[in-house]
Amino acid sequence: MVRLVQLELFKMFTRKRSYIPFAAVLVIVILIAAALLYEGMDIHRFITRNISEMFIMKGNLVNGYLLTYLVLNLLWVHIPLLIVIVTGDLYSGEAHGGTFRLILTRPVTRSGLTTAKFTAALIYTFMLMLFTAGFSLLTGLPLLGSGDLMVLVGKMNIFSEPDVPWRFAAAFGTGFLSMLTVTCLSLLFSSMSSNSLGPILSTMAVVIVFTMISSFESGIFRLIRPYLFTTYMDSWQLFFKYPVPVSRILSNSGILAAHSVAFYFITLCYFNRKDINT
Amino acid sequence: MIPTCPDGNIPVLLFPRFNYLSSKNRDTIPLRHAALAMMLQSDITRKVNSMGREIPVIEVNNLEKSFGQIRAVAGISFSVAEGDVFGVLGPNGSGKSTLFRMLLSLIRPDRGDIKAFGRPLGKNRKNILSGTGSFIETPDFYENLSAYRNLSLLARYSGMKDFTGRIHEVLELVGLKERMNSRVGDFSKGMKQRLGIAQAVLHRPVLLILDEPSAGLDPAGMRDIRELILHLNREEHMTILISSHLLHEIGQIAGRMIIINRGRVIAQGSMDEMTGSIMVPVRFGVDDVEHAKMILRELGKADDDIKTAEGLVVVPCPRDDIPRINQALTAAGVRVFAIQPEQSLEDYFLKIT
Repeated sequence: MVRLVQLELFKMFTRKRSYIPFAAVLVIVILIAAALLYEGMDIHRFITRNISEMFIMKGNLVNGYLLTYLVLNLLWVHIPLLIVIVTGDLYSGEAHGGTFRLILTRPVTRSGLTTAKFTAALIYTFMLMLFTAGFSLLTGLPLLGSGDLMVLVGKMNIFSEPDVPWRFAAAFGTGFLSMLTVTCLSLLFSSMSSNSLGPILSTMAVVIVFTMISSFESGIFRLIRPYLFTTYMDSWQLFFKYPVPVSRILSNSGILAAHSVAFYFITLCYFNRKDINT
Repeated sequence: MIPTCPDGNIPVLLFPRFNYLSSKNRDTIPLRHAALAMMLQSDITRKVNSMGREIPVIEVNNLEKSFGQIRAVAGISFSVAEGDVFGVLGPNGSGKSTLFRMLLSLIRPDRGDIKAFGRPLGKNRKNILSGTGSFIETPDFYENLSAYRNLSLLARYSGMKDFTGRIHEVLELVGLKERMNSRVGDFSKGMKQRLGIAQAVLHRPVLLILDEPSAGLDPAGMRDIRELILHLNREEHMTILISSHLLHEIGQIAGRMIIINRGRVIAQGSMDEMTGSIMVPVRFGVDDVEHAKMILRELGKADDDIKTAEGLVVVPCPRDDIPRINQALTAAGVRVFAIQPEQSLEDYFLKIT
């Protein structure tokens, strides 16, 4: 199995497409950092305009942590899109390129190949999340300095500087679980397709439509919401609340993990029975 | 003389290929292959029937596959003996590729059995594929990688460990050693076909399944592939199952063959068996037409069937009958300058498909 995972990672990282998400994150982080550097105080004044007359704001609130928090918001749409550009092609790319014929006529089981692809996709997702977190902090802290973190999650919350790092670690960890669910969904769609665009568009359509439905609190949407995995994808934000709703985060994480496992098993069953005609 | 075991079974070395492993190349054979050899050789004492028949390398029984309403393969049965070059001939869309894909477990049959090396494919897929090399239609590779990288990737999928030397060997065999570091995306179709053969033989298989290996190649390329296949059969002792829609290609390589059309076997046997008994018009170039005509009448040919022209007698007869007629003519003092069947193998193929 280790050999199969290594081979999947080798194939993945010898393709230029796999570096696009890293390059995109790099560009986005630099753009946000530049915006905060040059217009940070204006943004800060805009956000705090209602409370600035009641409170005296002291210290560096436009700092590296704020940058990292803003980057975390890419988890809504941007990061999922960047991930599925790569993972959505893992099966469909092989089907389209005809390379399944090469691999599956070797002494390799389909279950083994599926597990290897999911593991490689998991590693890729983890690496992208790690890169996003690492690059944001490594860019933000030297450039903008550190300080307390002021965020708006329903209401304004301000966290003291020592209280911030663990929240980011936990938020990125939970965000990874959310992204993993999207990854697994894209692999499921990818196993059913023989062109790359289909799985990418299908996954993003599901994520965007489900996220929109999840955000409606009224009528029939309220009934549907609990059954959509996107409802639980905002768990990372809960680490920026007072107090942190641990049980809700655990429950959400469990639901997301269950979805990922379900997507894996559906892919396994489907791919094991699939005729390779390409 | 057939050696016997104490229990009366006849030991049959199904895979003499593995016995060729010298101490020099033994290290390059992956553990999996050694395991396969051991598994298979542990089974070398087998019960044989009263006819002493060997287990075929491939045995296909009543195989069926439909895609929706289309029956791609409709009850095909055949077997391939060890050391054979066995041809599967059929026009485009006759079900050849579907059949081959089922043999390689890329497609699941709706009905029927496939056995390879005497074992059902379904339960022994991994072991069987360890000893099988294949090439299905146009070989597609990872175009962004070099020929060497592609082969090293596939060697690792095959479980090979020390494969560098073997990759050089197979690239040399197919004449691509000079281009081993070039991107496959830059290769011509002919080069990809040759690389396809290289990947198929990379892990030293005992069985080679080749689906239209020379499709789309120019005559020189087709000849190269043909010679390579014959080399692999004769020198490397590989059993080869090959498909094509070109009769002359199969005719030059395969000892036995089946002809399929619309998913069914419509003829099978050796080329001689298939073409020997059919009536074809044969031209005899002779010095005395009238005398030759008389001899043919004596041999039982009807007057209406015998056509004549200057220096030429044309009579329909099975191919197996030609030597007898020739002998009768020369015995009667008629000088025979040429004998030419008017119907080619292609005509026969077109007629039955």
